[in-house]
Amino acid sequence: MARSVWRELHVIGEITGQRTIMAVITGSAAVLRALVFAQPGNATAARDYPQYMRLSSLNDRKFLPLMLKPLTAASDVRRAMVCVASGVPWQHAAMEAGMLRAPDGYNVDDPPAEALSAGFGAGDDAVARVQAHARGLVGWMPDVMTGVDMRVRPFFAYLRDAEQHRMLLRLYTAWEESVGGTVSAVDEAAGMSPTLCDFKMPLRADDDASEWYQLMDKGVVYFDDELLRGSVAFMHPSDAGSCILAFRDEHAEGVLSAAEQVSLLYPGLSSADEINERLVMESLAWRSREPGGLALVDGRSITGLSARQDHLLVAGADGHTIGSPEHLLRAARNTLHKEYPDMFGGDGIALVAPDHCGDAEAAAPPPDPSEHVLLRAQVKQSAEDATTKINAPDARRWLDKLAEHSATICTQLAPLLGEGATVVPRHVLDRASSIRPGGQGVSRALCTVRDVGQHAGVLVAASSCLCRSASADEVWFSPDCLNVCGGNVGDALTLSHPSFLQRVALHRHVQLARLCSWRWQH
Amino acid sequence: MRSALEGRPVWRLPDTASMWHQWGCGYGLAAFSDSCVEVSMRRHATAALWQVFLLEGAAGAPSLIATHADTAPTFVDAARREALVGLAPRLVDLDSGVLEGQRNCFVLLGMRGVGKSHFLKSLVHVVARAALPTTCVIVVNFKNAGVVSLFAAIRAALRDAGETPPADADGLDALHVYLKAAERRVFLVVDEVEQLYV
Repeated sequence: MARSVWRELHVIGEITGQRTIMAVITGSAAVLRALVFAQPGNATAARDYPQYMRLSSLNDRKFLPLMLKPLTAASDVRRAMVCVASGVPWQHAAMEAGMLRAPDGYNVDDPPAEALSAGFGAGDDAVARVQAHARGLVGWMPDVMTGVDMRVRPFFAYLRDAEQHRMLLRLYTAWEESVGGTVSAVDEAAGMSPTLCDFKMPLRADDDASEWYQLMDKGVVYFDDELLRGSVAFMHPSDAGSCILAFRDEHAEGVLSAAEQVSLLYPGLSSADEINERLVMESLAWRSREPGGLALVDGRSITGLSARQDHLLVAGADGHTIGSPEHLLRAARNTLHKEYPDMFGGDGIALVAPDHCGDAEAAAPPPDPSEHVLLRAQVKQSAEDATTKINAPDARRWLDKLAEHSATICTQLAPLLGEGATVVPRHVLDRASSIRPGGQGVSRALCTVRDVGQHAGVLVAASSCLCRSASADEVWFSPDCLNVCGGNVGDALTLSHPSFLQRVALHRHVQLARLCSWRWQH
Repeated sequence: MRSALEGRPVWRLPDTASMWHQWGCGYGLAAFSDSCVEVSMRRHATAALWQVFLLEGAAGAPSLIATHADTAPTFVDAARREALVGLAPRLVDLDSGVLEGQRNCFVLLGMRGVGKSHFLKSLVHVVARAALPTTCVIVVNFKNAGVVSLFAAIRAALRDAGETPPADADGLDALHVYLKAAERRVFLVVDEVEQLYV
């Protein structure tokens, strides 16, 4: 259905001559940007490749971006607070919330319609609070939009400062008591449920609220003074886990077990592979959409694949059908799916129709019109440590298993494709780490797709804000993205370090989704 | 000029509405442009007029869009004024039936929580209040409505106006052809578009 809406928007954009429909589209900024860069067709159009003329008008010459920014200057904030409170209901609401100060001689039975001309004002405290919200928004969202490492944000600087973090410690201690002790707190934090932020620590009468304002201003805590009763909460569910990691050693008894630490460092993640494998599928689909397509060793190329994030049940190597071959035939046609279960060697699967197989080189034989390709991908992202290497026996074992299982699936699928149809397997080994001497040869010999994946390339394909060079090892933030996020070239160079990029992948797909829908929409 | 705003009252767009449409009930947005002025100048003149007359104007704060609706009015700061400068002349052309070229699509970007939706809500009320009866303002919010067909929303609006729009089966282009022949125009606002992808 989403595709049909996109098609409708496309038709609206492509009407020729006199326009009968004018559209304004808005939504999450990150998603809107992703629409331009993550959709292969659009990204190609944005680069103005002439062979995609049909889509070429979907670039920014037609889609005029209208950028709205939060109010941050004190004078703007004050004026907006008074102006927007025009009208009796708004005046009442604003005064009840402590955002508006009535002028002398204000008659509640005969309120003036215009707050500004009637002399209403906004208290300095209320203005500071709104400013803090706005500045927090400005400070946070670029991080969210670009996937910057969350560990560099002010919360962590404040958390690490043993001289200063007493207020955060107080919040953490109150929260830990409320959940029933450290053990329960670890379980709660590892779950990273949004309800973690439902806990509110009420302030005492003698507390200085301005201190909490300042912390909110920095994006360290969430301060809620609704109905003039101040309370403090975590800004993000992961903050609770970070507090445990920081304070446990310092203030509590004992240390966390390794399992507890991992569950707090990577809350909600079953494994890094769950993310990396999906990125590889996106990368392969991306390549297939680029001019030339995804090149095979035999000189052919695969074009026009798309990637799906949901799991697909596949047939088992033992000949028993786990997932229905008919279902696989329907779902995986020209579409890369994440496989489930992954015990048969493959992480991703697609059935490529003959019309999506072309000649990558002139010397290649013409494609057989009855030959389908079963594309399987195996992802090996062994560790973040760059020195970790995959050895040759392991590479051979994985690829042998993959090939054997692919042959079984091909046998099951061929009869379903009609008389004379054939299915041939093609394999990809995508790896983040290097292969030990000897292993390279093994993987090259057994992989039937020419370009074995490179981690940087995967990230670039997955991250809508990044561009890549021809070598796929150099990446940078697009100038457009920098404009949006207020970054600069120096930042971009720093951020393109591979160790950062690995975190980009994690944060873009996990934190982004969580944060985008988080605090600032409430 | 101000009389253009004093048309019949419009139906209010509720905060939680998933889809909303309203045919124009004013004297036309062209009332806010000066046909004697050169086109390039007209853009600026139109925008200035919008700032003065479609906002509270003489009634009070000059930097507010008056919604006359359930939502609070929108404060027009520099960024929102810039957005109006981009939109206003094109809305005038749409309302007058002369919108052409690469001018009919906009993407409104901004951080979450800065008031994109609020700005649009205010805008659609102003447009519906001032536009000609041949122009329909349609708001689709995918968050509340789920994924729905935009063209179905346009067809529903046409049926409300007593028209008989082409059926789904006639294809997507047929609706454009019909709108052109019937001299109807549509201002379509699509909010929460990310809901299509989650």
